[in-house]
Amino acid sequence: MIAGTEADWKLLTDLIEERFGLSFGGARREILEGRLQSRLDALRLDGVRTYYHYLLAHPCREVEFGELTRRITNNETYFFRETAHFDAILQQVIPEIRPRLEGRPLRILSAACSSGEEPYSLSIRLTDAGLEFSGCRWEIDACDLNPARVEQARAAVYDGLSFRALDEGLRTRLFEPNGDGRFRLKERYRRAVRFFQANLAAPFSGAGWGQYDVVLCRNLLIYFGPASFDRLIGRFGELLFPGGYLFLGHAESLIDRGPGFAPVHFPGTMGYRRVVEAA
Amino acid sequence: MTTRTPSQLAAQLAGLDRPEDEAARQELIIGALGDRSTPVRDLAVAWAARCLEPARLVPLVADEADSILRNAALAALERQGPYAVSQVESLTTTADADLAMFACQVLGSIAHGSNPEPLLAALARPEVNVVQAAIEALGRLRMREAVPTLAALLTRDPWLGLAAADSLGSIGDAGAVPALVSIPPDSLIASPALDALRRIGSPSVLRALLPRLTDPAWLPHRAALVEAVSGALAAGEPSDELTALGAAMERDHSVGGLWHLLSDWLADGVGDSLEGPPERDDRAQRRGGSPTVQAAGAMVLAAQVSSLLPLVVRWGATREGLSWLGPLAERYPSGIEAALDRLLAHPDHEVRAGALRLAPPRTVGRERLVGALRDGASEVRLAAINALAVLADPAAIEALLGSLGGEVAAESSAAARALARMPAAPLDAALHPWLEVGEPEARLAAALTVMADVYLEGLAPRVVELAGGTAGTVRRLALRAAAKIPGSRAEVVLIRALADRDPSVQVEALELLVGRGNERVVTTFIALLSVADSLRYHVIRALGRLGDRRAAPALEALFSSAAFHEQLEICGTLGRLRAANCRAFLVDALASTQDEVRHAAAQALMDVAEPEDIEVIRKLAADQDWVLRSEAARGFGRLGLAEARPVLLDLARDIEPAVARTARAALAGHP
Repeated sequence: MIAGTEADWKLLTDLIEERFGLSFGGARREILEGRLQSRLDALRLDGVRTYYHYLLAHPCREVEFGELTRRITNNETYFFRETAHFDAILQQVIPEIRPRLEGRPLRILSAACSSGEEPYSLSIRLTDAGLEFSGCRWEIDACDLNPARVEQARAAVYDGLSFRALDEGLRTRLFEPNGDGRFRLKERYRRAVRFFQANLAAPFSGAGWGQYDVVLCRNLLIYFGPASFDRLIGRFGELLFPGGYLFLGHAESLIDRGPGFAPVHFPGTMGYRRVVEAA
Repeated sequence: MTTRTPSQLAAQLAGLDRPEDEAARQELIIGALGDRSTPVRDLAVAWAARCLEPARLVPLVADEADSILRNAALAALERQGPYAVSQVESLTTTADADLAMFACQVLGSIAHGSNPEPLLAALARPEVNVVQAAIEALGRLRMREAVPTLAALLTRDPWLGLAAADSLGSIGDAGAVPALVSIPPDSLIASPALDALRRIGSPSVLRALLPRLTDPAWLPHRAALVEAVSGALAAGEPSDELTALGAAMERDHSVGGLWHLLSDWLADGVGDSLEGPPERDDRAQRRGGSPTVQAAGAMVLAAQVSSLLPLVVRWGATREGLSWLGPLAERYPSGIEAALDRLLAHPDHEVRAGALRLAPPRTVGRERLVGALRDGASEVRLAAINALAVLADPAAIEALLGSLGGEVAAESSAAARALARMPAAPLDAALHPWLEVGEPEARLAAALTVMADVYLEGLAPRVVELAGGTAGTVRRLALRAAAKIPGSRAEVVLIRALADRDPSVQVEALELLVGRGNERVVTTFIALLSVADSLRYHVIRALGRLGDRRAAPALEALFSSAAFHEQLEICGTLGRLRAANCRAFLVDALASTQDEVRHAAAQALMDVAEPEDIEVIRKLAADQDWVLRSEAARGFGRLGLAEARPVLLDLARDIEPAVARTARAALAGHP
């Protein structure tokens, strides 16, 4: 158990939320404590406030924020998780948006993509649907806070739990053996996906960002506090083309969270269309 | 649908901070309390707790038309906690039954400041919903004064009886046992009463409950009975009744019998059968054992049901299982002792490991433990090593040295700890060859790991030599071993290591010197404060841990020239040193232009504050900065000054929950 007062924990969790958007208040404080205990032991720090000071002021603070990133991000993901979103994009969103593309590629952002299973799943669906043969080009950008996960995503090598929703036949069709007992996604599914490291809680600037027709940000906002939630939704609004779609995880909702997005029902799921302001 | 976000509401509220805006702010808060958006409402609740008097919130609780508003107002009252108690207590006597019911619920949620009288009085009201809310509140508050009244309510009305049984279980007072035991098997509350008995956990119920386990009238409640009995066994003693029950179970393994029930529960817990290794091993997912498994396990151990012991003992192989099974095995050792040979020869390695962990090492004996070091399963070998550590028999040293030099890291570490508990003379002789010049690094490292926990005089010169020599793992381990050696020679080696080129060795040496903690170490550390390098941060903190107040003036003198991160640690260290004469320094630091320095100074000041600092703390309690308000609440809590109570009551409804919780905790320990 890490020593700390109510104020100590709030200072630390506020700092983490300010920096990464992730909320560790309430019952999630225990999760944070579990992830930090060994780190504090390694740094020989004896309490929450000392660690907070370390992150705030120590000359090695940026290195430590990197270490913290690796510890607090949730990497739970697998191929073809919550496929109703992919169906909605393929069967309803793309036909709706396509006339507006005017020759440019359809652009999709997979935010908080972890080790890449989500953007690659979408890439597989779009590739296998033969979208490009029908004249619709597309690109997927994917970002994550954790640089190690981004590297893993670029490598596209997977095993075990990543395949929990895939049967053997599908895995054999989509992947090739990597020579170490793991499997690498075939090149034709990798080539249209571009990965970059990004902190969604920080202002969107610099390399990586563009304008998108669809943004997927699933199962991240459940870890965000209200203020960070609102900020990020506002930023997604800026990233999306007018009429573009935002897809969140099933446990996340924009209902009653402001006027920037209108909920749209799809079979088995829901998306949010960026509201086009009246001229 | 809402038209605002929490951020927008916060901005609106922040803009209404002048006295003349008060009415508008209250209206805005009340409007937001009824907002459909949960995040908006949550924010409004926080502001309502802070800005609305209980008298203004109470009518909202009575609003029948708007349940969202009513629940939000209730949440605000709960959040006001002790500040709202007297107002809410008065509502328990109101003619409006719904309002009285809600008042009872709120009181049940406010842990501090409640007295039982209003709730006890509410028990006499004619409205069942009010009485039920009062019963539940008394249970949540664990008010022992209510036990006789609640016991009397058990048989008044079935619904009130259910609530009363649950509350009696929550209160956990043995005074409720006679009433709960008297509930007959055909009563609607028979099982809830047994559950309450389980939670009370009084051994006095055993005499009444044990015969019921084989009584056909109680058959429908047998699961609840077993759990109630197991709750009592945790504090019980071995008895003839228990032994007789075990013997009866062994005679009747029929389907539907008690033995069969326990067997089912235990097998469900591990997903396999009585003999042989498990076919479907899902123990990894349920390492601790469910409450049902634990109840059955307690019964089997206490009643010495030998045939079911393997299914119980295997839980002892895991740390989680050991946490509940260990105390039971100590209390009821006979069953395992009698079956030890059979358990140690069991084909399931988890049964063997569990038996070694649960049986007293003296009963198992050195020979069997040393024999278990050759077991094919690492868990069993590890359990044997740990038992040999308890035995501390020098005849086991040679065998343990084999584990120390083995390839399994966990066994090697455990063997090092076990060896460190052996008598010094034979251990010194046994480790001597391991530390000779020319020995492989792995052997040196293993021997030094043992010596990190024990001082061996004969090997001290060699340890000092290794600690002052080459870099790498051996030197680091030798430094740890050197820290155990008394006298100046080893200390000099450690102090020299403070200047090592490797910062991690520096920090390690610092930690080891803190562990030694003598006057010379303090003097050395104070001298090191003048060296502005990366180690100084650790030195400052180390001085706090050493607790020598002579360091305070040097730290104060360093403050103005120290780096920012060092300044924060200096404040923290002064607080840890409890140096009362540094109060003036810390009060000055409260005027810093940097928030974090002010926070650190306030935190340290609250650790050393005296009653004469009350005005300083009062100012902090009124500061815009919530961290300072929180520190003030903590400081007032520590000082326990009666005149600080109104300030704490105000802070208990602070907009910032961390401040409110700190103030509540302070009030709980306040006179």
